[in-house]
Amino acid sequence: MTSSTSIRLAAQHGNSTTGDRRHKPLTGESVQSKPDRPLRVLIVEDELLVAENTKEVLKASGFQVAGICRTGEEVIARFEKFNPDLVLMDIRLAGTLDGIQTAVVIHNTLRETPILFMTAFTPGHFPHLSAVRRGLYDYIAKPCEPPELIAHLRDLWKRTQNQ
Amino acid sequence: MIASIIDSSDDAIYSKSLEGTILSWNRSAERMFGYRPEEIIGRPGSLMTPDDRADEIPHILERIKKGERIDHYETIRKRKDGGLITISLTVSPIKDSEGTIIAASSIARDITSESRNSDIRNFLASIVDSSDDAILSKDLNGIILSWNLGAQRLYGYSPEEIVGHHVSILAPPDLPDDIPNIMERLNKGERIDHYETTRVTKDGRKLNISLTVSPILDTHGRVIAASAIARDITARKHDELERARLVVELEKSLAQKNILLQEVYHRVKNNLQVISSLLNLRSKYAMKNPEQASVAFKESIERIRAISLVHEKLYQAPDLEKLDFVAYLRALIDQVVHAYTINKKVELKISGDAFEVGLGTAISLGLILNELVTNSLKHAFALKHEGVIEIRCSGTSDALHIEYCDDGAGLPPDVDFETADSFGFRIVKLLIKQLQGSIAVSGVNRTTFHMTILKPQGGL
Repeated sequence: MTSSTSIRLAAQHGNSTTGDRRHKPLTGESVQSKPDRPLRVLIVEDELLVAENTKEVLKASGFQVAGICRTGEEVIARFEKFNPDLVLMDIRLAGTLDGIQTAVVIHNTLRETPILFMTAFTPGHFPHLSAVRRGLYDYIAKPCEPPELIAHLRDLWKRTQNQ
Repeated sequence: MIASIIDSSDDAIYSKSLEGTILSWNRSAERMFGYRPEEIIGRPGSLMTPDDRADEIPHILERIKKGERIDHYETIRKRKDGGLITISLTVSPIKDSEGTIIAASSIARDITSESRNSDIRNFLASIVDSSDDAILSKDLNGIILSWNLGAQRLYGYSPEEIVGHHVSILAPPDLPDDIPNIMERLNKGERIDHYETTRVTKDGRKLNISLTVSPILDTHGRVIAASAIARDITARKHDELERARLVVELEKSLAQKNILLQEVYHRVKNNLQVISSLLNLRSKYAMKNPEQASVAFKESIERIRAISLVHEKLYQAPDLEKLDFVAYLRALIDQVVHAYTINKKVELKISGDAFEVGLGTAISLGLILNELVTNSLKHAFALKHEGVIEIRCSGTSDALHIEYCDDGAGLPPDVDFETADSFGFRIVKLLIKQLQGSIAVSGVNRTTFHMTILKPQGGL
């Protein structure tokens, strides 16, 4: 199993109306190797300076930035268009929904896309984090350095593809 | 017959000569004083007199000799065993057939227990009267029978004013069932202990009291009246309420402080992320022009100082939430001018509406203005020794308009604000987008930046 299979499947799932919408490989093979097309990451961050820098960091590390959103509402409305493989999301956002609520909507109504939360708060500050589907998210504390961010994103991707 | 009557009397009856020698002695005298007739008859009556009353008998006998009678004289006598008894003494002269006084008859009644009871009563009465608590008694219909000084002090009524009135005079109008309920329980023989309720004073003040009401029983165990002891607990109740209020306030304050602490924690980390991002983004530009590295550092320091100034002003604000943006702007521009200019005079003119902004908006606007002022100082005033920066602020219900212009050289003809490869302008455009605003540039020699920022629902 190559990672390209996984990516293709992700794209299929993005357009699929069938029940199983997970980024699950067709076989049990590992997806440790680098995909032949860049992974698409949606950045959800209300601080655009942070988002802009994150975009450059991701691009420099071989990711493709699917888009930048400032609110959870915008993520939900444009999710299919952005078609991300991963979501990198702040928890405190500009709109009404916070990152955790947005994640729950994504997983329950759109796709089971892995989400890396990036926030200046501690996870204990958000009791409703437990509402997010287990195994489909990870957490990184702000401020974080680019290598740490990239490592977390890659780990989350590998972990979710192996499930 | 007479001797038999005398012997069967409960009173001690004895006679003595005018010199005080005991002449006769009945059974009750024997019981009362402990002497048998043979032990006392013929001996002086002073044997029964305590030392401190030694002159009493001669004095009594003097009066007897004059034919006087001594009635119900309360005194103390000493028993054979040394014990003292209180007696009520009646002494009468005994005359012979010719009417000559020849002796004296004494009738003594032991009133020791009565005297003790009286003492106890007086003692208890003095306790009741000296008590700080209000103590009153009432009959089973609720009519007040007695009223101590404490009750007078507490309720304001004198005994003359209140004794004979119904106790409901003390009940507040909002507790009409309170006293009937107490009376009902009393009639059943129940005692009411430390019952906390309210009463009203003569002048209409409401008191919190702790009330203990006990039934008063007759010798057959029947409830005939009730005693009530009331203690003023108004101050204690006030303290309790005050303490409860303070606890609620403290808890609220603690909760607010926890929220504030979490917010500060979040702000610190978020700002560090913004600063880290700014430095990282700027480093890309510096890599293109390594010789400009020191400029990049200086600019970055000023951006961090612009953010820092927001926090400084915010933590000085009364609510820690909003800062006076014009005051911030003056401090910011002063800071930037001092950082970039030596021997250059820059005049700052700020006009228009004053407005307040929250943390997020302040940092974005602060960084935008920091870039524009830096641009003026580095480029517009590059060849001048003095310059003017003008900022006009005006607000509508849904938007804020800021115009920034300088009287410097203006943007070079080949520089387009929209497409310029300038890190400063990139920051300005990004932050204007973050504020959901717009920016336009006009003028050639006198470049003006027109910024409009939509006011979010929660305010700027």
